[in-house]
Amino acid sequence: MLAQKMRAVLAKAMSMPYPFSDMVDKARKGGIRLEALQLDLAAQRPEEAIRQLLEPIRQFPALKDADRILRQILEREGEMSTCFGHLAAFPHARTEACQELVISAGRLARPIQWGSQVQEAQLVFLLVVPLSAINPYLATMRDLTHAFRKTKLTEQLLEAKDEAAFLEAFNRCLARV
Amino acid sequence: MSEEAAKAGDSHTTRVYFLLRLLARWRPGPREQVFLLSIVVGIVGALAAIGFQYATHAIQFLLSQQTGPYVETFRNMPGWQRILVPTVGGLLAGLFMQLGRRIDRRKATDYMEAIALGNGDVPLRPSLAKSGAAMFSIAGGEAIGREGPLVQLSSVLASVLGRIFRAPPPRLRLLVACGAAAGIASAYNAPIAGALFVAEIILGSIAMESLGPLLLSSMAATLTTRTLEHPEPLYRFQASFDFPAQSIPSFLILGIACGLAAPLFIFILRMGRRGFEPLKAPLAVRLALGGLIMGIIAFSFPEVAGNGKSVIHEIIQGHYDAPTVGTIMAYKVLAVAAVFGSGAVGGVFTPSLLTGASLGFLVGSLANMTGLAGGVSPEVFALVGMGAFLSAAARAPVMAILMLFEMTLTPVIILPLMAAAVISYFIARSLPGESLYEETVRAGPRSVFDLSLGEIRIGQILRPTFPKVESNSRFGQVAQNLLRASEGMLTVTRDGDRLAGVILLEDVKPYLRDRVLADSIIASDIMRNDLPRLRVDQDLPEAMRIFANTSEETLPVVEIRDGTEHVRGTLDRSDLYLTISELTRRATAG
Repeated sequence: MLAQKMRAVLAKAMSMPYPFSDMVDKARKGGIRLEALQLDLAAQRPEEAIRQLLEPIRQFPALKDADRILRQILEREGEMSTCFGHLAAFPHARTEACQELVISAGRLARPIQWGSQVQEAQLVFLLVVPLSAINPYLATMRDLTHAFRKTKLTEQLLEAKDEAAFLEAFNRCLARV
Repeated sequence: MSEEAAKAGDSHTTRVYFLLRLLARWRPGPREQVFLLSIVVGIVGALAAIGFQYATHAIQFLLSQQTGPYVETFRNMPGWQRILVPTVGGLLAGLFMQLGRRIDRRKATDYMEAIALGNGDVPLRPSLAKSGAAMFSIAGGEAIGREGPLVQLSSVLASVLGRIFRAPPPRLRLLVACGAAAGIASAYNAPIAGALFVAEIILGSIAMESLGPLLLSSMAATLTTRTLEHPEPLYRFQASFDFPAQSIPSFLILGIACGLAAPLFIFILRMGRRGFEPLKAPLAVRLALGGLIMGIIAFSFPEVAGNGKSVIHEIIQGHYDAPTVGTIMAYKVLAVAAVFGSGAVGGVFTPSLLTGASLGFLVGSLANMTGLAGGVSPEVFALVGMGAFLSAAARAPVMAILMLFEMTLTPVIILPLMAAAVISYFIARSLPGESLYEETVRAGPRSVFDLSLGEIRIGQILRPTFPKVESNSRFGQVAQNLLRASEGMLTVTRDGDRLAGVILLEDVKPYLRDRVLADSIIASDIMRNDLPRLRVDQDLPEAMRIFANTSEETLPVVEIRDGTEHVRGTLDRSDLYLTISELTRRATAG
């Protein structure tokens, strides 16, 4: 009787989802949630692109002061270009003006010069990072850089016809990293 | 090669690689660094002690055409040579020191001063000159101990090692203390007492923060010495004996006698110093004169030659009767006072042991005559007398008890020794006068530790060299510097020394070896600004309060100028504790 009960309890316990399964899964797959996506950015310069990417997330409850964030992102861009290569750029700032990591992505109609004269970007991922989120920031940056470096993510994102195709290609490549 | 052998070889290689990788990834923190360095200091100190011993023997041979125990060689000498050899030894020692002073005019820090006081910065050349001079004094058979120069030598090597690793003052001081412990441990084959000697007499604390490294250093020194030199205890006592209860009062009397005699011994030594003060002759002449006085005594009593180790052996083996021991003791004290007073470099540790052994033997003989000894031989009293006298003279009963145990490896003497050592200690302490080492300790170089707790500023104890990167340094550079740093923290600066923030190893550890990230991130992306910082002008209580509110082991220290924070160094929690511990000890000691 007791053994049966124990087996039942054990079976129930085994069938329960692991409490942090989502996080583990996300971390394993390099899961990155894009809060906003614009496939028709019409910027000529990095600053314009950054402004446009910030617009859709401006009202996010996690963001307190979008203007300040913009200023900080541009300051950071001034320190060193965030252009990664593979036509991708990751403008970002760690700021006290946000409470959680927010990512806004966009695709430009054609590549624009980003940072130095030889660097160009067409796919831009804007990261707004809370001061305390050093580890999530590094994890996100690692996933993004590895995905662009090790897979054909650039080509697939440029070829994506709509948001669904873009997201599908993005998630697929991230999962392979 | 068979398949099995190949497999075994592969497995062995894998294990070696695994260990190497572990080692490569292991980053010792400040405390682990001190532990590791203390072991290195112990080994180096022991090697230096052995080298010193061989060099002394070589000089002894040049001076007297003999090697071996000094008493024995003096007995074999004709009378004129007994006078000449210590005189020449003293003269050469003085000339050597004068030569050393010409090369480097800095005062050689005394072996005690270096650790007890100062910032642990022991000047190399003057110390080497002093140790070299001691070789001539000792080789000349002068009545002086060799623990002084041995400790000095290992201390200066520890100081040099600490300076190479840019240790901040509190840690450098601890390393020098480790050197001293190594010197004593290897000289007396006494690892526990070596550590306790430094802890109890010099540092005045047996807190594990300092005692731990001292023990490790002593252990390493003793192991090195035992591997290369004598594995035997210094004063092994062969006879078996027991302590009947009726013998205890006589040991208490011995404790009282030692408690009274030790301050007198120290007083005579001081008189020796004062006796030479009016003599305005060059150092070489003074030391030669000290040697000459000793030589004249040795003319009739060769037993006064050397530090007294062989005479102790003879006393505890019952080679002498009470009147002879009394005479040896009296002349030995005079000889030590003459040599010590002339300014010869050396210690008075073994001469103190000889005085204690003689006194113990005399009390034991008296107790046997009156029937109070309960059958315990005077030789056993001599052993206990050594410890009781040392306890009173050095004002360090714990060290004395352990030292005697380690030097004799005779556990049965511990009980009467405990009684006699404690009594002698309290009696000596209640009498006017200082301990054997107090004056030396007090007369050392002034340093930050002479200030009061409220006077010291963080700027005086910080570590001025620290790992740092500019805020726009790439992640690859950050990772490289973090992997090299021992603090687990990297200071981020702007425009040279303006503090921008700090990067903690724990924040970035999993990504340090990521080559793709190396060029994509810069230092300012991952630095923290929320960590507390210390100011150079803050005092230690304030630093304690700030450390109490953080779990970080190291914090940046800044100087505020023109409204901005300029980094001046870092401060480790352990260095702060070491400083406060030393200040508290001094405050308690008055």
